[in-house]
Amino acid sequence: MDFNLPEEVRMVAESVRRFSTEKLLPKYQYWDKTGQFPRELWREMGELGFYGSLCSAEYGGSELGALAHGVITCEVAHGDFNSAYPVLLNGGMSLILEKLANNNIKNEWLPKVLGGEKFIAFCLTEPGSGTDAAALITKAEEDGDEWVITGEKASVSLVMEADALLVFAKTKQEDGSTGVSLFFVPASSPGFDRAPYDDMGHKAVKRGSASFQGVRIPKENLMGTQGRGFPEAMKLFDIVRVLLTLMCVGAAEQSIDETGEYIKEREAFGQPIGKFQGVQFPLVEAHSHVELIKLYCYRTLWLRDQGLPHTKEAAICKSMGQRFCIDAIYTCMQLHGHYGYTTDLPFQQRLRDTIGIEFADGTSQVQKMIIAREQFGREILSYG
Amino acid sequence: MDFNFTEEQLSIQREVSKICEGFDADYWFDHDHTGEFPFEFTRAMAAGGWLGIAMPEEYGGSGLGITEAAILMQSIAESGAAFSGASSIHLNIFGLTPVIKHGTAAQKERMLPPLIKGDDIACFGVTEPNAGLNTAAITTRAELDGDRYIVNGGKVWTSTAQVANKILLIARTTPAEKCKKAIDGLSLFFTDLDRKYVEIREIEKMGRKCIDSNQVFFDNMPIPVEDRIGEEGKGFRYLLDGLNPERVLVAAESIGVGRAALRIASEYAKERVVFDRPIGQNQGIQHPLAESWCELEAANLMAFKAATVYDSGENSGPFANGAKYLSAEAAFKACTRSMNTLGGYGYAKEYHVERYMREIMIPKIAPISPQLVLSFIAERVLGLPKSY
Repeated sequence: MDFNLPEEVRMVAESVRRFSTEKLLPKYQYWDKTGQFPRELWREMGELGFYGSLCSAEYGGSELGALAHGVITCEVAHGDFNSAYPVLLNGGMSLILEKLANNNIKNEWLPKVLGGEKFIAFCLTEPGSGTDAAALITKAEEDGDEWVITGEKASVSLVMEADALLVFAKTKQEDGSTGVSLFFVPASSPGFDRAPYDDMGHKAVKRGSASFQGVRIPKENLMGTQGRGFPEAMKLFDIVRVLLTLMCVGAAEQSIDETGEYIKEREAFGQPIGKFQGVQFPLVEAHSHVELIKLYCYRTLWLRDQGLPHTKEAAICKSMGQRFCIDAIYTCMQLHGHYGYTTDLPFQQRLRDTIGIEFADGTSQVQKMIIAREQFGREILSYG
Repeated sequence: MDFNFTEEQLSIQREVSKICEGFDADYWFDHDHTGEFPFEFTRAMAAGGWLGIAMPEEYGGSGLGITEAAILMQSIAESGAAFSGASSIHLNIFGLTPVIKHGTAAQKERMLPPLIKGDDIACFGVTEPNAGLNTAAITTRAELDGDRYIVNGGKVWTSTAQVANKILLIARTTPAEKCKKAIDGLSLFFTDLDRKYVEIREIEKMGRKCIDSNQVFFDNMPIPVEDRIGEEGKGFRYLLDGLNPERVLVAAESIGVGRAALRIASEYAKERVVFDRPIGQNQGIQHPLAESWCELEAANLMAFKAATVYDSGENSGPFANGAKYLSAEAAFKACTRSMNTLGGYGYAKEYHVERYMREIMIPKIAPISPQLVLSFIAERVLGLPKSY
């Protein structure tokens, strides 16, 4: 057993932390207050190679692997939680494009995704289907050399800035049955429309709805096997749950570091408040929880790098990890007293931002269903 | 022992809820967005005569107790107005307790009726940047100069100062080193918030945007001697009279918010269908909500126990503090669970639970931190040595 990060990953971590502290942390609250999309910054991160650990060198990736990708995600989130989002998204997209897209799309889009020039949004959830993804009703019909896509998608992250979209839609199979297929849709396609949500957090990374009214795309924009889109895409995606959790870990660690400094400086009743166990113990608990979950995230990513199954482990990370981190950040905010509630300090924003992860890519309830299935068997599934 | 509300108390609930129906979720959503003070709401409450619920009848109040005031405030919060609604009138309800208890008849005649009618809006100048929980460390000075005091210094976390024309202000009239005890030498004033001598800077904060919080700076602000409440140097002791009722009200308000969140979550869980059945049919969804109901109702019992003890004239400190602590914890959990029940929609503002969530942070930290409540219980109830 070796618990040390590989040397190359450790060096990447150090340089990302430096970038994160110098370039991201000072702007974290600015993006929240303005709601602007930091396109230039995210391109810079792409150029520095932050998005490429999961992709092969053939398309410009670094092949550093899942553990490195997780470490980068976490270090970026130290400075700016929301800027960790493109690490997750563009990294995840590079996986899907490399495995499932045709050569034209790969050659044109993969380098731009890795370079932070282009962003691709993921359209699965619909107004009437989320957890039960198979209940989606968006459809794709063949018409000559084209697919015609019609439907409404909900809760699409980065919807307003996406240059293309990966859309799950129902298709009729040759045997007459209905399957779910995955399509690549450029945002410039006629018939595509979008609108943002007003959310509690993630102000720079707007979530919103996407509408497809008879959107026509070429035949070859079908990704992977017709009718197998859902399992083919999702099996690549266990890693996303770990990365989402590590975003929260980064934000929580940064909050704990800052609070550790604060409780040494802030005095009440003639001594630094950190000397009170009522203050130091909650912070110690927060630190302990975050340490535990970070180690478990790293182990899950290590399993993936070894080519071992990690579906259950990824669900464990996401089922409780983000909650540990949210609670830790809340403790930090509370230890700053009423000042923690001001928008001058970042804690309320980190809290609003990390709370959004409760719902991303399956709520903790859904993760528990997955853990139950993987650990105890399908016979105790609460559905079907 | 009787755990039931009287018919009069139930009618308070009914009538207040009826007024609140005129201020629906969209009203509070809009005010949270624009940050505009909810004047329409406070006027409606004043017109209904509710602002004087706990003020003496001879000055236009209803002469009722903190129990009734807690019912009023809880009904407001529970309607969905949450702290945006409750905090808009919170100070009018209990803030003038020191004036009622220690003011002269002339002061009461002059100060209370305009507040009850809603013509005056008061704010509370107590907390300072370096004197939060240890109020006795206050450094804002009021120096006697003939028939007036001259005030210099600054306050922080003064709610509603942007819209207030009056302030209940505590300031040091005798330097701490000349006092036997640190809590001596502080005097209490209820006076005009004269903007000629006052600078008010709003603090941007996470939630409750329509009820402003501020830094307030005094630059040679004169206060007529007749605006001093009670004796000079005893202001801090007078202020203590108002602390327990405030905690009871905050507890009742928090529970109202928790109930409002549970209501939204339960409705949603009944309607949202996943895998062909409402998600509320899953124990994984129902049990956390049921647990929150139990926690809220238990905290509520302590809140009204505290109100009863206060109204009977006995020391309500342990229960008032305990109720504030339990209610804020229970309501925070209820908001968290409700938001999680709504999934991704809970994170979108149009479902309102996220606003409750941002607002319920306030009673967790104000008017006293949970740590200090626990220290108080440890010392005063359990007899443990003081830890600070």
